[in-house]
Amino acid sequence: MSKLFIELLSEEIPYWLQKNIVEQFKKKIIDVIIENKLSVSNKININSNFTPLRLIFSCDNLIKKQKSSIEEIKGPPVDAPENAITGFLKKIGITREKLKKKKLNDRNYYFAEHKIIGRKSEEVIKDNLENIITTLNWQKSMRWIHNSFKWGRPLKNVLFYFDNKFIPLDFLEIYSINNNSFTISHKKIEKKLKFKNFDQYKKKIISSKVIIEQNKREEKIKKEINNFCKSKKIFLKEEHNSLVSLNAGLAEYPDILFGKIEKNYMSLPQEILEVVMINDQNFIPLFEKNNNLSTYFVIIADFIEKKFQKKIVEDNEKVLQARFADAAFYWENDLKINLEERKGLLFDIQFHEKLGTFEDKTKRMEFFALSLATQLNLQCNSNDVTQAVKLSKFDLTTGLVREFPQLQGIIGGYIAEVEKKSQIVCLALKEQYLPKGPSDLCPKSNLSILLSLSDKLDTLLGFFLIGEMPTSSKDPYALRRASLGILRIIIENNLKIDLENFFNEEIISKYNLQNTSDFKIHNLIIFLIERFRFFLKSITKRQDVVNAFFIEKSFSSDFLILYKKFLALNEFINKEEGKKIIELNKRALNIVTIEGKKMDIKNSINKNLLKEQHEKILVDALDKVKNKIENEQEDFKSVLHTISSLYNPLNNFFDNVMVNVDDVKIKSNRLSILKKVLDTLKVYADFSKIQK
Amino acid sequence: MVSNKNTISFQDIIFNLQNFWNKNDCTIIQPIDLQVGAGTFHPATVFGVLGTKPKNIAYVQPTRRPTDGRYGKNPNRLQHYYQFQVLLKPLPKNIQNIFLRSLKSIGVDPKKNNIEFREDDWESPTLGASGLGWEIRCNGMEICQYTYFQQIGGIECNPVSVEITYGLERLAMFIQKVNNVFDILWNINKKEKKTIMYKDIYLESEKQFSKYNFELANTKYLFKNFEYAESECKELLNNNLPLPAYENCIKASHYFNVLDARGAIGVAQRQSYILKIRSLVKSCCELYIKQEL
Repeated sequence: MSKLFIELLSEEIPYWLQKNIVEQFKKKIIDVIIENKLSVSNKININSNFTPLRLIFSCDNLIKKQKSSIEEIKGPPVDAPENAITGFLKKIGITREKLKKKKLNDRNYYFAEHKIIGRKSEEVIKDNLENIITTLNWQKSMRWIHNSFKWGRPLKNVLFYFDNKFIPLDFLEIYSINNNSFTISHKKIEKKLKFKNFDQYKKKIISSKVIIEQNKREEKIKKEINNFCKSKKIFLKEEHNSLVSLNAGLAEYPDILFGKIEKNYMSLPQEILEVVMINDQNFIPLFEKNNNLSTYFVIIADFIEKKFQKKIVEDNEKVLQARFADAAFYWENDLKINLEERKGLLFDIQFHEKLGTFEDKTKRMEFFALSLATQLNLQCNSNDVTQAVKLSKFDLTTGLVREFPQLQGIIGGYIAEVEKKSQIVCLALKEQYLPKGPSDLCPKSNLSILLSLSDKLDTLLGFFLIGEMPTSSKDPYALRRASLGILRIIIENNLKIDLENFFNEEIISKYNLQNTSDFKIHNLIIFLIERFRFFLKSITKRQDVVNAFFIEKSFSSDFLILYKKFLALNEFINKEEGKKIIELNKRALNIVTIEGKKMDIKNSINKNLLKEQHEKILVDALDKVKNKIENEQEDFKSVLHTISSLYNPLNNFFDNVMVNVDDVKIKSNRLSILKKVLDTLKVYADFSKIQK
Repeated sequence: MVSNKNTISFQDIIFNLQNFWNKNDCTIIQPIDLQVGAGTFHPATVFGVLGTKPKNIAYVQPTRRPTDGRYGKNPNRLQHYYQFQVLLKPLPKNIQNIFLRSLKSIGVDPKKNNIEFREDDWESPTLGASGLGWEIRCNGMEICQYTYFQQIGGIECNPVSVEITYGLERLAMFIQKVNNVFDILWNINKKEKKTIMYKDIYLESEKQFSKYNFELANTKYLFKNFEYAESECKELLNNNLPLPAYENCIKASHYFNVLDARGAIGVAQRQSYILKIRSLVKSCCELYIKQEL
C-alpha cells in the first residue's frame, strides 16, 4: 500500500483557526481520494495533526496507481448527417473504423471506446494540491507576498511525500512559498530535518522538540500540573480545560512552569485576579479544595532550557504583578464613588442609538422583571427587584469594567457588598449576565432569575423591534447567546411561560419606538425555536431526534413544555417499546408511499367498510391515541405509553389483514387506516426521521 | 540596582536598533514633528504602505496618549513615550527571522527567553487601517507589535508591508531589569561617570502634562481647533495637497485625544469624531494614490 505525507509550515497561526482548517484540509484530501478512487479500501483514514506552525496529514492505505478502464462514449445515430459523425470523431480523436454500433431504444448509434489510463496516485494528488491549498475557507486570513492568495498567516513551506519520495510542487513558486524537502525543528533549536518518510519525520521531529499531536501537548500540560498540584493539595478546575487546550495550541513543545501570586493582591476580588491571569496572560489559575483561588498559577512556555526557567517565571510574575497593581488601582478608585452616585455617570451612555440609554434599558427591565415575577409566580420582594434592576448597569461606569469588560455585573456585585446591600441583591448583580456560555451555570435564586431574564428579553426583543436581527454570519449584539440563556434559564428553573404572549403590546410600547410595523413576533419565535433546536442537539447529540420532533407545524413558545415533550421522546425511542413503534411506523409508511403513487388515499376512514376484527380494533385504538396526544399537556410519558399501546393492534393488523385486496374500496379504506396511523403518530413526532 | 558597565542604556537600545535595521537595508529617517498617538501616524508610514514603490524605513517616534498619563506616579504608564518603528515593503521572505535577530541585537536572546507570537490583529479606527499579526511577548510582557498591513484609509495595500513597532520603554525595563519606567537608565556619561535616568528627563513633564491633559486643557479651544483642522484639511484637499492636508488629520486626532482625556467627549459623540478623522484620512490617501500614479 502506498503512503502519503504532507506538511504545511507557516508562521504562528492563532489557535482558534487551527482545528477548523485541519478539518477542511482533511476533507478536501478525502474528496480527492474518493473521487479518483485512490484508496485501497472504503475506509479512508487520514491522520491529521497540527501545531501553531504546522498542518500535518498522512495516509497509508492508498493505491500506487489508478486502475485503467474503458469508457463507452455515445455518439450520434448511425443515420445522422455526415458532419455530425465527423464532428464526433474529431472530438474523441479516433478514426471511423474504431467506432462500434449499438442499438439503443430501437435505433442504432455509434459508440466510441475510450481507454482511460490509470494515473499514478502521486500525480493525481499533486495536481489537486494547489486547489486544496488555495480554496480553504479561513474565518480570518491575510495576504502577504502574492497579491491575492490568502492564508491564516504567511505559509512558508509545503512538502509532499509519496512512498518515501519527495514530490516537487511547481505551483508553489507563484505564491512565493518554499518547496523544500526538509522541515525545520523547534525554533529554538534551528535545525533542518531531513527524512525519507512520515515515520522518520515523526522520530526526528519529536527529538527536536516538536510534539505534533495537540492531545499529547494537552496531556503533557495536564500531567505536569497534576503532579505539581498533588504535593500542594490544590487542583485544576474542569472549566479551565479549554485554557489548557489553548496553551497547548500555542506551543510546539509546552514547558510547564509555576508562578506565585504576591500575597498583597490576594485580597482583591477573586474574579478580578482570574480575569487578569486568564485573559491578559493565558495563565492557568489553580484552586484550593474549597474553590478559593490558590497563590499558584501555571505559565506555559514554548521549550525553555532548565537553566533559563527560573528567570522566565520571575519575569512573568513581575508582569502579572504590574497588571494586578493596575487592577488594584482601579478597584480602590471605583470604591470611592458609591453605586447610586454612578447614576449621573451612566445617564449618557448609550445602550443603542435606537434603543436609548442604559437608563432607558433599566426602566424597561424593571417593568419586565415585575411582570415576570407575577407571571412566573416567583416570590420576591418587589423593592429588591426594583433595587437590583436600578443598580444593575451602574458598574459599566467603573474603571475595572472599562478595563475588563467581562467583569461587568461581578464588579457591581462586589461594590454592592462593600456598600452592605442585601445579599440577594448582590448575588443577582453578579449573576445577571449568566449563563454566558454553555459551560456556565444558570442563576437559581428568584431575584437573579428575574434580573437575568429581564435583561436578556429586553435586549432580544429590542433588537428585533428595530430590525437588527442576526444574519447567518453576523450577530453583533450576541442575540444567539442571549436566546440560549433565556431558554436555559426557563428550562433549568422549571419556568412556565409562553413567550409569544409575553411579548405583548404593552411590553412593546415600553420601547417608545415610532414605527414597529416591520416587526413580526413570528420571526422572533422562529429564531428562538432555531436556538432551541440547536440547544437540544447539543445536549443529546441526536440531530435525527431533533428533526423528528420539530416537524412543520406551528409550535407553542412554551419552551418548558416543549422541552419535557422532547425529553420524553428521546427517552422513549431508546427503549424497546419505542423501537417497535419506529419499526411499525416504517412499515406503514412504506405501504402508504408505494400505494399512494398508484391511488389517492383518503384522509377519512369509512367505518362501514371495516370488515375484519383487527382493523376495527386498530381504528378504535387510533381514536384513543389521537385523543390522548392532543389533550395531554403535562405527562408526556403517559402519552408515549399510550402510543406504544398501538403496537399490538397494529401488529395484528399487519399479520391478519390483507391490504392489497381486489375490492378497491376496501383496499383504499385500509390504506386510509394506515395513513391515519402515520398522521396520528406525527402529531407527536415524525418517527420515520429517527435513525437507529 | 543598575548602571554596571554592561547595562544597555535606553539610547544604546535606539542606536542598536538603528544599526541593525540600517544593516538590513533600511533608511533611518527622523520622527514627524507633530503630536501623534502612534508611530504608524508618521506620513512616511501612512503613505509608504500605499502604492507599489518599495519602502524600507526605520525611525524613532515620540508618541502621545493623553489618557495614559498618571502624573508620573504609575510605574508603567506614560502620556508621552517612544516607539521604534520599522516598515518594510515588499516583504523580505524571512522577515520573522530578521525580527528575532533584531531582538538579539538589543540583548533579548530568543533562546534564553520565552518569545511568544500572540494573535493580535491590529486596527486603527482613525486611520481606517488594519492588519493581521501578533503582539510579541517576552516572558509575558508585551514588547512589540508585528503587523502585516492589509489596508489603510480604506484602501487595500498591495504589495503588503510589514510594520514592526518596538515599545522602547517596555524593552528597556525588561533589558535593564527595572520595575519602574522612571528608573530606566538613559545614558552613562563615561568620562564624568555620570548617569542620566529617564526620570531626569521626563518625570516633571509627565506631572505637568497629566495636569494639563486631565484638568486644564481648554475644551472650548480644543473643539474649535478640531474644527479648524478639519476645515483646513478639506481646503487643502481641494487644492490637491494631500501631505499638508494629512498633517491636519494628525492635529485633529491629537485634539480629539486630549478632549477624550478631559472626559469632554460622550460615548455617542466619540464614534462620530473618529469617523470624521477617518474620512479625512481616507480622502488624503485617495488623493495621494491618484497623484502617485
